[in-house]
Amino acid sequence: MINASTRITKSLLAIHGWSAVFLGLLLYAVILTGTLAVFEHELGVWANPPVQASDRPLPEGIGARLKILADSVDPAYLDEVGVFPAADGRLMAFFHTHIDAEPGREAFEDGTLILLEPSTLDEVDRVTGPADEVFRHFGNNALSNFLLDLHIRLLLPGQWGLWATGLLGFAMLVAAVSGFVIHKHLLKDIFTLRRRRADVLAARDAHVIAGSWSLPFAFVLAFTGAFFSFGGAIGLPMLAAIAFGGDVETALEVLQPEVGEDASPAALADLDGILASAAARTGGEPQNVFINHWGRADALVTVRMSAEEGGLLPGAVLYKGASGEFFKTLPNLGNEPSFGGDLAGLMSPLHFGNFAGTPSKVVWFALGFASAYVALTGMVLWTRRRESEPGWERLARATAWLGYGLPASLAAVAAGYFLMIDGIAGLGNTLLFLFLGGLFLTALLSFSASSTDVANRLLLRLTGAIMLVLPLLRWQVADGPGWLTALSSGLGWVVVMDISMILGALACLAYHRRQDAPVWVSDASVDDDLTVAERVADAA
Amino acid sequence: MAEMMESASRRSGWWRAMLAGPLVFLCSVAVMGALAVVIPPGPALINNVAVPLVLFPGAWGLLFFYACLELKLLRAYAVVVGLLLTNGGLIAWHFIQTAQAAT
Repeated sequence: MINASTRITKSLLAIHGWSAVFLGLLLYAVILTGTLAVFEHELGVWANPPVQASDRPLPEGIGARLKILADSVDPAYLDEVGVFPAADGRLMAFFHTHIDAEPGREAFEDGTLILLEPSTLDEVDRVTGPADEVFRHFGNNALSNFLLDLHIRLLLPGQWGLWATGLLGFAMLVAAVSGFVIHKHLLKDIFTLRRRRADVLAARDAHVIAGSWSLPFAFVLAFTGAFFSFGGAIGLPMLAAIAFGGDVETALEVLQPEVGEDASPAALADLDGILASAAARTGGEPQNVFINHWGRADALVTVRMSAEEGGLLPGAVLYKGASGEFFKTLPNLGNEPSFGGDLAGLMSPLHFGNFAGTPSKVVWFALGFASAYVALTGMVLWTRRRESEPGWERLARATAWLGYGLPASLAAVAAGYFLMIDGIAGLGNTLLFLFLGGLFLTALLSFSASSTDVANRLLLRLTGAIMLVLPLLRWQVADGPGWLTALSSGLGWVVVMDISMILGALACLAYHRRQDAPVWVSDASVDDDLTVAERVADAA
Repeated sequence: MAEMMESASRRSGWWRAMLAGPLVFLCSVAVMGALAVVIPPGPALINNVAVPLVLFPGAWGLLFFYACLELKLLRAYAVVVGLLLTNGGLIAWHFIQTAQAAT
């Protein structure tokens, strides 16, 4: 409990509430999509699984296969080769070169992207062009990519999206800190749920309980989110100019390990042997591999590893490409272990929750869901109090629309994906149009309904109905594997996600029944001991 | 009289919003840049980049709450503008030194 003065508490209550009013709806969208994106890879596998799952990110024999593929691409693209698993578990091999910036044009990577089946290493398809085009060419990861775009950039172009989500991350940080300071009865708030009392009190208590339990998590998410968005948009370019006297590319060149330039031709050593050596040396699992200057005497192989047992940060092992000789190990960031590298490296596992596999992801998902619930119920509680006033009525409708229309639109995007996907063929902007169409339709439903309660019930029912048919669409329309085939192919996540969708759908359909007879009571008559939510509402 | 007080309060609200919003953001960016000048790069050459980047949201939050909660608005402006000029000056000095060293 923090004993702030009445004046400070009042100011913080106002900051807490108004930051939510101005940015709450967008923040809710970012938190909800971020929560789903925790399972980005699992969603990718569910949406468009490979024929057979691989037991490791870089399957055995990938080195020999890459050598064959290297002979089939433009030799200029052997300048740098990256091999990594995509969200759906298929492998991506990107043979490319770096094109320098020119007046009026930024630097970019140009190359050939080859998609491989993970179990057989058969080539699925390939495409050549600039990196930002080739990585959007295939449709297999379109659903995961759409979700990530919405979470990271709110679908805004260029740096605008990063600025927007950075600002939202900061708003969440402000709300978390002010929310913590205004807690007069933190322990009481955490354990108070008056379900037998009026619905309005139960709703407030649920908001405060979810907010209290997820407060530290919200702080961590907001801090790391603001770090990623603003770090990419302004921090790195500015600091690269100050510390390295150039742009981010210059900084990366300075930080590149020195092997000594030697352009004379030399065959690449046994790549499979290098991967096995890296695994034996660190005790981790190779996650992806990069080869610089393939076919030259100064070739360098960088194997990025999973974190060691009990460790939080992954590292990398470097080998000289021509001889296969071990060169050095690298920490997660930088050439040498450093405080700054470890500090910045921690941001990633803390934000994505992927440091302990599925268990940590489940915890991050649950806490993320609680945070989205807090953002939405906070807005609902705030606006319902003022629903009778003209301006607030619209905000109350908008809150109900986005709160319940966003999940419905996201479910519609998934349904549209299954209806339109043909193998791995690209979908262009189809998912974007589907999403915008979904938002438009749900807005029509929401604003034309006789009350927000009716609109909410309708949208929840719609979300539940769409989610319920998703497994069927995936299986029958998109030609996905059935449960038995999926289980026998090592694609257990397909079954887990199907069941999650069905349970989520049933929860949506069941939830509306609980809302059938809401009991709204006078605030003054129910409780003298104000909770945080009540004091936040009073401050406005 | 009441109208005058309300108008003055609204004006002061706008001044505080300008301070806590754009000015504090600019100041936090300047603090991040200046930290890159004063923090040694370390053996990995990245401490002066990574540490300011991580500290940026914290510095922004601290300055934001200070700008919102400081009773004397003029003092809050003095502190934030002073920090902005000091840190901005440090960054400018660094660029001048680098340019001179290059020539």
